[in-house]
Amino acid sequence: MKRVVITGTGALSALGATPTALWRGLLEGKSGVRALARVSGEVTTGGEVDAVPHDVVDRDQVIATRAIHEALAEAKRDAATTGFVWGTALDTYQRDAHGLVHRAAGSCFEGLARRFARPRRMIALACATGTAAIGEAFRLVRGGRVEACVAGGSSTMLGPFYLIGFHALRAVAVDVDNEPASAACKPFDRQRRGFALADGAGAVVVELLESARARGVEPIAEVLGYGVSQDAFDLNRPPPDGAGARLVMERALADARLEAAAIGAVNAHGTGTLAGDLAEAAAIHGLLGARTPVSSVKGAIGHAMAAAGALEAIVAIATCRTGIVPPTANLVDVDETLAPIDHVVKVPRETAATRVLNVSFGMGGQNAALVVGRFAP
Amino acid sequence: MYLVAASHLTDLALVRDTRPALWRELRRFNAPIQLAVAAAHDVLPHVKTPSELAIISLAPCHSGSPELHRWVRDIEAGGAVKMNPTHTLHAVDNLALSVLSLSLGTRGWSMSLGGAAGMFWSALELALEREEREVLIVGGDQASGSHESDFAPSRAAGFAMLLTRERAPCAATGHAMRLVGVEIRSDVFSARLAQICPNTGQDEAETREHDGSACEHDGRAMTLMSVRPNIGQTGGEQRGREIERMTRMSRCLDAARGAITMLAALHGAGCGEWTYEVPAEDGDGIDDIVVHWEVGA
Repeated sequence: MKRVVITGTGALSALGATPTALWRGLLEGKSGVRALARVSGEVTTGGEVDAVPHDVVDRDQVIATRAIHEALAEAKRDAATTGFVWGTALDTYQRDAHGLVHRAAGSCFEGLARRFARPRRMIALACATGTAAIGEAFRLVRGGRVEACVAGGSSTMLGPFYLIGFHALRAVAVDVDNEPASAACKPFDRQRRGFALADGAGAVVVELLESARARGVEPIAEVLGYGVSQDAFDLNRPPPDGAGARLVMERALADARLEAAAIGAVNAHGTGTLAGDLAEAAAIHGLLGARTPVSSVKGAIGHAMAAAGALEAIVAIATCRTGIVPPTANLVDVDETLAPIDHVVKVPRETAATRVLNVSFGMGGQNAALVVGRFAP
Repeated sequence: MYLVAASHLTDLALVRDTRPALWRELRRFNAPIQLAVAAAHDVLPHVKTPSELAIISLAPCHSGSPELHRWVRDIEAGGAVKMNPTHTLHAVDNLALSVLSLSLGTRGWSMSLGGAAGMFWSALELALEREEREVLIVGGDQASGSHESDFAPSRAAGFAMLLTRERAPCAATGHAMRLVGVEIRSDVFSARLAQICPNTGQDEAETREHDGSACEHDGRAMTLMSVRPNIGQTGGEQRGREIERMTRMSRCLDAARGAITMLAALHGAGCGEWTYEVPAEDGDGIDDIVVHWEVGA
């Protein structure tokens, strides 16, 4: 089977405008989630990308373009010879001088995709989009359809409409008196009350190893396996036993031809919702037991929807390369009613991990998982 | 793969009045999802192994609903601080797949493609790339997804088509109809755009003068290059024109129309090889797309 590697990454998140800024911020235990001055109501926190002003009308496209540009530059690749598999979250509602501008999610994709070679595919799996986009690119490259793809996702939803809309679904963390906004999202914590919505973009270049070698580019990591699954349970919540989540992890492992014991760490979806964390902990415990280090980035950067899985894959790649698992920000009081798993808390942990499972669970019950590994020639 | 069955629907009232049980399941969703899932239910009786059915769904190019856009306006005006959670779902991009998988209880392989131009043709490619025995492609869209709409129900359509790897006759024609492949002939973005959005040519000329992009290819490609947003460039008139142009383009888009048009033509095809040249308005705005079929006796 052909080997597929990562040759470039790009990331814009609440912790900064590069993958390095994201990684450093996580290791330092920072949270980029903060109060948003321009909104009011019961939910006023979010993980904003400072690198691009929030009043730029096509902010979705600008944020995505910067991440893509960075990934391509690191991979030393040209878009014209590279496929494109991307998700752009939902429609955006941005203000300009004339009022509210509604941009369809597809418009952003089309603006990004036109400079790329085929295949150009827009993935729409809610919160699992970024992970699925990388997985689909992996499948296309491994299958010989294309030599390389840019894959990932972007999201700009930090406005009143989505804050109120996701609050209606009881998914986001409502404001609490006497608590800093940075602590709003507490994955797996006893006091968790939902996620903080976030903007962001994560891009990776997925490439055949032969292609990278022929071009003299050193791989950053290897993509080993990918899976998708459906909960078929409920539109708003996963089954408490995490059956769909476990199934997608099993599928990714099977695709990678690996046993569960080969996984050194898990980059969890970890949204900080009551039902989501319950199901995820059950699934991880059921498959990997309680000895595999588990970490979520959403306490630190919020939930960047279509970008979330891609940003998390970039963190998983950094863990593969270094063996370091960053701590789950804001996880102080582990919820002991959840299935027991090995949470990384407060400080980064040095491990022997060379293969990381990156999991994402989309609203509506679509799940995606990737296995990424340290590159070994 | 072989086309076993297909359906398309445009009349929500018909679904409501003739299929009350299904309507109870669908009534809280928005029109593109209701019609897509109802169309899927038309072809489901032809599925041999429902538990293993693979699903590829297409998100609407025009998402939302009159109710959702009313919330947007009210919230923007400061008049609403809460909203109905059901209406939040109308914004979600994978809703058709979620509703369908929930309705069927299937955990087979699935994928949802976004509401961008030409994703139906990518769905056909995806079905051919995979090894699943049965693949259901489903999508729906509506004429207006704009928050500027008058909140009246807009024209909507949904479709579903079932493909199977084993040779089988199409329920509607009795002939074996094999999807051979999806061919991408050329990169003709500028010509496509001119057809889709008649006023675009002038904008392109202005943009070309404005940004003075270098010519790296032949004449057509040069035009293509000139209207691409300069990667890394984040401001200025070029991007403003880009937004305007993409907005115009999006108004022409529909996630269901391309499929419905092709399937209607296919049902009238005679025996032998049959090629379908995708009309400009149903393409991806970039390439010439041709779908190859083989119709058996």
